[in-house]
Amino acid sequence: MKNLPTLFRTLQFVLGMVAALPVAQAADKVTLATNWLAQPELGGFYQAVADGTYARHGLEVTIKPGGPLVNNRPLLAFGKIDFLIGTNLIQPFDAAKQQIPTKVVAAFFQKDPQCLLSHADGPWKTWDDLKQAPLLMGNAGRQTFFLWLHDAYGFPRANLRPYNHSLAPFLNDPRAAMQGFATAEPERIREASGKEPRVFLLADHGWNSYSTVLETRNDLIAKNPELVRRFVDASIVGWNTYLDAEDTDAADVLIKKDNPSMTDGLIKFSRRKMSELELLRGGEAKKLGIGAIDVERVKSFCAKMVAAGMYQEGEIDPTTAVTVEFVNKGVGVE
Amino acid sequence: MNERSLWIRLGAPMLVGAALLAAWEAWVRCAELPKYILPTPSEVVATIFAQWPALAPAWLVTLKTMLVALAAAVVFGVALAALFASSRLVETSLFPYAVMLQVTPLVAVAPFIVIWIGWERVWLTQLVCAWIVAFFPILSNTTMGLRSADPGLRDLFTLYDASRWQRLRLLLAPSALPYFLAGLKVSANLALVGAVVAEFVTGTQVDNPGLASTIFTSQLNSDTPLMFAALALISLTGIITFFAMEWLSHLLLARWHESAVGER
Amino acid sequence: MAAPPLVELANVGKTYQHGATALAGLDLHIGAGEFVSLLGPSGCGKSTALRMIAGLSQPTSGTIRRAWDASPAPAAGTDCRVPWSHPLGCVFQEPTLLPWTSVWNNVYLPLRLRGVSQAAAKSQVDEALTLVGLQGFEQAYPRELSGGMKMRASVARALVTRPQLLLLDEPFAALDEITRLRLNDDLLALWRERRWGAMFITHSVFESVYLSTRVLVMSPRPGRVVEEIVIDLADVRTAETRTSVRYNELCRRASQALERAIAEASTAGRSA
Repeated sequence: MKNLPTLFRTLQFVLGMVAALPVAQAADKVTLATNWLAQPELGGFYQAVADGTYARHGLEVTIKPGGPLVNNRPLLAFGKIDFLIGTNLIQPFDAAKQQIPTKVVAAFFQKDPQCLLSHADGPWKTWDDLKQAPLLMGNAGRQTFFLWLHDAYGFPRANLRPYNHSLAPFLNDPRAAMQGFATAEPERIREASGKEPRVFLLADHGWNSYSTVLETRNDLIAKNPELVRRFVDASIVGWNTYLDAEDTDAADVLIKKDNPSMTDGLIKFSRRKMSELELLRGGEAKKLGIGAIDVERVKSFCAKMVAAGMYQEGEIDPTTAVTVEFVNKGVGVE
Repeated sequence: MNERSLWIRLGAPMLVGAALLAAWEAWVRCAELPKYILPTPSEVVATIFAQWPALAPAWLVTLKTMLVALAAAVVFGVALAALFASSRLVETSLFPYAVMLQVTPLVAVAPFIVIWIGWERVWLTQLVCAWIVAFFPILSNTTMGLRSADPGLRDLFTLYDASRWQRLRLLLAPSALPYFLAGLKVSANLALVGAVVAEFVTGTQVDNPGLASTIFTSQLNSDTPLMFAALALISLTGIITFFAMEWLSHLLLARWHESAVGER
Repeated sequence: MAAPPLVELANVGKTYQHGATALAGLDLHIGAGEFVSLLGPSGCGKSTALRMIAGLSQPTSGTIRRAWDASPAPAAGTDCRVPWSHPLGCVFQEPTLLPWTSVWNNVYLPLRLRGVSQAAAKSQVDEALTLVGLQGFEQAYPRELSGGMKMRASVARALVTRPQLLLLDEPFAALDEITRLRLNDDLLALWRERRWGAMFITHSVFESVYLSTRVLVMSPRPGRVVEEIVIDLADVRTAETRTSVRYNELCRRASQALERAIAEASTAGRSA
């Protein structure tokens, strides 16, 4: 009970602060649903929540994590959430094909960290070697980038093996190869086996999709573009902070709270890799700022997917899947 | 089952089904729900026809897994039940493991089954997964059935020095039949569920995809009508299986067992 | 009693594993052509005695001698064209028919278990069905029959092997009065014609006297025979028999013996 006066004073202080704020109206409540469990690859968004960046932009943001058994995508079309993180451009293309009124408003990863991994001391040393490997791949990968691997490089379908996010089958077989995120799996494998595996980025072999793309509904863009702009800007600021700051503890605490299996070692590795691989600041983002979208690149990726047999010629207009209205403004570029 | 009761058995659920589908159709149209959120039944039917060249082979793949898994469940379930019924000691020693197999979530053990069986043998793995789901009702029901023979009839067989084989064939097997058929009815639909879940957990297929792959891909591609079309085929399979099992029970039990005797 | 008895029980006792004694010092014999009733209160071990004679249960003391033990039934698979006979027929309290098959197949069952083919068994099965008045119901299933007809089928099955001794364990107790009297008369008529030995278990004094050539009165548990009453009524018994003086005298005797046995048992129980 001795804390009561302290509590009272704190309350008084907070009330005073709120009264002094220049913002007249209450913060807009928005929900961001992600495509995976909380992880540093989504760190910028957690950072913007943790350090009050969203609040300063007049937003009260709730993050709804995804996961292996969670499909948040239908919630966006339903209007149950306002923003969605998509893994790559395939699903936005599907939305365009199905005439679902949603769009990509920012592309956070200029390069997709999706990669294939083989054992450091295993037989597969080159990209071409991997075509002979039993390839551990989950359901989503099989129906997206594997189709391209098959079409563009002739990876045989017969080599596909089930992948359920467990490293055991890979570690168990020195001849195996598996799918992974370049920012996470190499470290998970090193922690489990002591050796960092060989990493082959799909992006280095022509897979030029953006990754960690931000999607929202067309009607929100039409009715409240101001809110979308604030959310995109604040997320970009959050990402800049998360990549540059010495101390990202506040964001990492939130990440670990949402995903207890996350370790400090994995977070450190992931942040280092995101910088090394210039996932967020490479390509056009160098000049145009984080989140940059180049429509020509979107068209080129779409053409590759058409070639891979995923879509028919002219079936979708890739330009309707994205909008550059909210990015390419150099936010956060010195 | 006479003519009239047959009509009620088929007609009543059909009428309910038709009413539900009509309500669904009307609601989606009135609320103007886009088809990516909820397609109308007519859109689903149209999708089944439009996508038939892709759906039919997928359906066959799932059907094949289901039927082979069910056949294996019958063979192993009945053989094991006969073993259990022949000795209390065997039953007491093994039944807990059968229960264990039954309650272990497939999703959890599937990755290991994949490794044990060998990951080249995808279909065999799916088969084993579906079998695990399907076999228990047959085992437990048949075991119970084999033990349920009337004690008076057992005495009668003893009185006339019946051999073990005669006892099994002429007394225990017919006594167990209604129990076995009740188990089969449950197992048949579990085999279907098992076949679909097994395909999910062992990885959807790029070659020879079953309906689970169709569902997964249509979900991934936000193709809701296609997903509903696949679900409709699974439901249809379940309903056909159910009626097939009812018919089989009727055929085998109608003249003597209470469970299959229609109201007179 | 010149001929050796069909079955003879000497000082037979039965004590169950859980300690209860069903029978103690039971002596009885049944000769060829005799109709013997075992009359006793419920739970006196009558059914236990029947099960032991049938070989379904073993005595814990004493001996059981059966006339046919010396010459066992032919092994399965021996010449199937020769109609096969089994020394024993048994009718239980329930009809105990196989519900999944026809009356004909139910009656055929004892022969089938001996490896007699359907064709070879046909005349014997049809004869048994005719004896009990079930001709025309060969293809009916048990659940399509009335309680009395089910019992008839059960009797036909017991007779199909042409037994020397027929064991009947309160066979008609569950039926209504009219059906029971009718079946009793039919049973007697059959017995007069075929003269197999019969052992009939009942707790009805009137039924035992009406049917039998000899009534054995049993004491309550642990059961033993306390009185033997020879029934010297004429072989042919009708509704008139039930009103005859001799019948009622015999009934009184049996009834008094039964009451005495129950009274003695309860005194013994109190003093113990």
